[in-house]
Amino acid sequence: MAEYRVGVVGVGSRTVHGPLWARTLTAIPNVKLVRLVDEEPDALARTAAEVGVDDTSSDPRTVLEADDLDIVIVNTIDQVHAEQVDAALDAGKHVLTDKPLGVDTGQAAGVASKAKKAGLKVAVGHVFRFVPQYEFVKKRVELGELGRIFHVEAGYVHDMRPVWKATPWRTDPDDPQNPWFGGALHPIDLAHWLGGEVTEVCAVENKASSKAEFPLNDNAIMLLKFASGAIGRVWNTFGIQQNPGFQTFCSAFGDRGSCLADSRGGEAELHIDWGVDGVGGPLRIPFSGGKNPNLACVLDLLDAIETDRPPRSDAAQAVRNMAVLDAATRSVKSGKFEPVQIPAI
Amino acid sequence: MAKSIGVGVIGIGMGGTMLPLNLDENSPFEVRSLCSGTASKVEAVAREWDIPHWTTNYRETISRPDIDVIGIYSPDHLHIEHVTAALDAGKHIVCTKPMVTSVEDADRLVKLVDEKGVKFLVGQTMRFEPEFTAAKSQLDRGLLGDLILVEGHYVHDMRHVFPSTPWRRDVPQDLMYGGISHPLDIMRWLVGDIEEVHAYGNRAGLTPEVKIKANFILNVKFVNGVMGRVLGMYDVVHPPMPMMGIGLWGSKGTLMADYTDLKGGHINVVYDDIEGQPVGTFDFPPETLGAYGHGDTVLRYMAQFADCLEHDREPSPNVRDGAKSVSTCAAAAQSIETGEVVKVRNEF
Amino acid sequence: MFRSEPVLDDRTEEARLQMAELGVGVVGLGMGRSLLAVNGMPDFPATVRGVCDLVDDATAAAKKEFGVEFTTNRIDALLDRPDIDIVGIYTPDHLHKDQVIQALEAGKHVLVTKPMSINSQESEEIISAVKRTGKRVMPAQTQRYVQSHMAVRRFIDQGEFGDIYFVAADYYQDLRPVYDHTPWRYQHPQDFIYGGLSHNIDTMRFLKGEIVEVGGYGMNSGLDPRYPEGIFETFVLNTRFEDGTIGRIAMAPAVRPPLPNIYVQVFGTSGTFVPNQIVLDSFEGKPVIDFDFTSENWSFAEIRVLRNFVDSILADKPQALNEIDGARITAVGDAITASVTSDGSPRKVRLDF
Repeated sequence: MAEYRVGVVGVGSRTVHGPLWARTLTAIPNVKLVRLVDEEPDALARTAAEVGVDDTSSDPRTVLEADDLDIVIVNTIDQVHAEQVDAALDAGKHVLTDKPLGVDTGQAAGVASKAKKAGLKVAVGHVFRFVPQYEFVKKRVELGELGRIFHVEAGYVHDMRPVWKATPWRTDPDDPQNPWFGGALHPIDLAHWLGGEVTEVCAVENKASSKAEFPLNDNAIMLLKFASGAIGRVWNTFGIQQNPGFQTFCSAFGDRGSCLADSRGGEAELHIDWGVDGVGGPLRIPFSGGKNPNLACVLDLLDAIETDRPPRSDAAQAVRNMAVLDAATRSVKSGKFEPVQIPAI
Repeated sequence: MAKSIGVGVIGIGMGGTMLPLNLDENSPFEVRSLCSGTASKVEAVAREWDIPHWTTNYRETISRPDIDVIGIYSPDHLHIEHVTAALDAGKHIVCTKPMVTSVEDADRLVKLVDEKGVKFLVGQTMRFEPEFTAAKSQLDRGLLGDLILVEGHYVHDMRHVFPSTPWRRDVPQDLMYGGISHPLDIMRWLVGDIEEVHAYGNRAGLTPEVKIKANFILNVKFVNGVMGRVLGMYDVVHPPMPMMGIGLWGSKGTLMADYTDLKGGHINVVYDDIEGQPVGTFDFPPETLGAYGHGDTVLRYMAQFADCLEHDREPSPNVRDGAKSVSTCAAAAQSIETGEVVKVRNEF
Repeated sequence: MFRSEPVLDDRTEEARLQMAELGVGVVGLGMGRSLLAVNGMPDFPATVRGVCDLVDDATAAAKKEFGVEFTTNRIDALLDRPDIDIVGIYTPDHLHKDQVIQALEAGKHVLVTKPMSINSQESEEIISAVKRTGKRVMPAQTQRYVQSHMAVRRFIDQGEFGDIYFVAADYYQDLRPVYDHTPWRYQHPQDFIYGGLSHNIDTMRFLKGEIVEVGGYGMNSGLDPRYPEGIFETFVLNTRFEDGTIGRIAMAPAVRPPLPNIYVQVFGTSGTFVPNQIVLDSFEGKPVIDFDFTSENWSFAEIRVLRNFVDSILADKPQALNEIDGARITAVGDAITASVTSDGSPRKVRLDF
């Protein structure tokens, strides 16, 4: 098995995940966590002590431009993702970046093109593709057990108030975090995963939180039309008061069965006619944790490098996700279905 | 739907589960005659359900021209007499398990059914319980891969049912046929014919007046090479386990299905391709209609029978399935006597 | 009777006996690792003083984490130590016989993980060695020391089950991960009739009595291609006990079933045990009692086995299992082999050793 030398940019409190990616890497035997970077010296020192890494810096270039690393993990604020991934690609490294890939589709497309030309892998941290109950839903779709998929649902439902307090850069009135980047990209990615190419979007949004808590609208529904003829719904909401038990959901409905899953209790439900005229069931499978989606995401990147295949959610997919968001943004204004325009990569 | 097919029922304990057919608008069946041993009981049931004819003489029921199907729910050892008479009269047959209690009798029935060209359904309720139908569906879809090992069980402290059906104690009922036929039939349905069997049997002695063996363990080899085993325990302190169950060990998954009279059932399944191998569960609500709660199941198999009559299809299980179950039970009984592995006759 | 000949260091052993503490040497730190924990138990009347394993990391860890004084790669170096009274053999099955005899001849008592032997010829050699050396052999049949089985046995002894007319013991374990970290099992193929079914066989002996007849079918499931075709790991067996009552055994190394790993059922005229519940007929109302033990680490059962051995030696009483038990368990395996490799008909089990 090949050995990989990895550096992480961003281990402090600027992002919710902070030291999460650094910690994850220490669990992989053939990965050597070489270097950590963060602007906050205390957070950097803490994480470095925790994961047993001495090599630290406040300068991202020590990781992005390093020639002694194979992989870079970008875990910084949204606004600098694209430039940092670019820098790492320029220096010949594979990248795992937190989403979004860029602040707009154009930026993301640029990064994706560069990666493609260089033959390097860029994995985008859509870790929900590695949640076991969602993998179960996807597998039922793939195996054809649900028949022809005609409807897809995915959502990201998160009372962000505590997060807004802890990371105030998100609520900066001059440069607030785009709520759709923060959340909606996840369910949009899941919807793509289950339903395929999205051709049109119709979106509507409103607000639950106060302007003081968060400057922008924080609740949106998107209706999707897929190339396959299926339709779907994405719900992205941040201002909800108290999480209603689950944070994400991901379900597929086909003409021979349905499979539903959400993040509450880690269970998936499979509804198929087992020849019992609807008596009994559904089949419930408990996924009792123990599987770490972040770890699985990194392992997927390593395998993608080794077998020369795209990571499960890669830069090209990130561009498609953001194109859907663009269409949604246009739709909020026009009140109509808007076509999804995907820039060439 | 017009009630176009008349049914006569012999035995109103388990046979009483046929009566709700009269209320089912979607069923062409109508029970028109009841027969049972005790006049007062059968008359009371006939009055309650508005059945025009009742009797204690089964020949009356069998010979009625407005009846096309005879449902036989009499004690096991009387099946051969009742079924033969009904076949001689040219009726279609639904016969509760066990079909009969000897291979010779099974042979007679197969020949007679072939000769008369009528439809014959063995009332093997397990095949129509949703737990086992769902298990078969999973197996047939390939979700469990190739079968490695199959097991079945049916345990029942029969002391609980002696009061309502004293013939079980007094005749006594031979549970190698009356009991073991349940899991054996289900296993045959799921896997295929059984080639050979080795069995042990004993008694616990909880009912001293019954002398014949009532606890059985069978090892079986199927014609297709799969291995299996059956547990049938009837002279028992009722054990804290589901009454009926099957286990399917496959190369891609392992599934256990269970069912208990009046308590519903479950499927527990593990799929190899899910990391962590969590146990998936599938719960089935209790069904309480009819004797032992088997009412809904009887309605299900009668729906199949209606379809078979209308479209000239073969019932499942049919007389040959019944015969093969009987011959497997007979082989097991012989094995218990001789201590040897005994080959099962599957040609009928 | 635990010694009939002078031992290497008389005084040391007596002194140890006075202190009521014995020295243990463990050979094989895979399964044997379980015993090291006794070094951290102040009241335990034995200490692991030496370990032997081919893997240096394992012996070094034993020294570092459990304070084991002596480490070696060679079993004879361990057997030379005068401060070791009991040797625990936890090596692959096919090595047991020679190592057990070697340890006996070095003047040690032997605790050997199941199976003691892999055929009756080996059993006879071990029995001879015990007679010759006067030392003890205890097969470490851990299922007797699993909490739920100990509790069921108590109920049986108190008469709560009445007459037991049926006992079953099934063994379900997805073996593929086991092959991953103990490759010797398929490199020198472990015969599950001896290495696996010994669990089932001895549990049934523990709860009911001697098995005198056994027969049935066996096959290789094909689930793991590392495992050679000629060796079976899937079994359905019928058994008969000395008093005529019946039982059954199954083993399936398939996709982990939704059942306990070792699944034992006991049916008696006054009670029935089917995990995790007991029905007690003798109680008014015939309650169904939940019989649920918090799952404990496997090591505890291994340690209880050792405890029984040590206590028995110190008290000069017979230990729970000896070489005759080991031989009988293996003899059941012989009968199983004869049956499953031919026509499935039952075979009588040799009891006289």
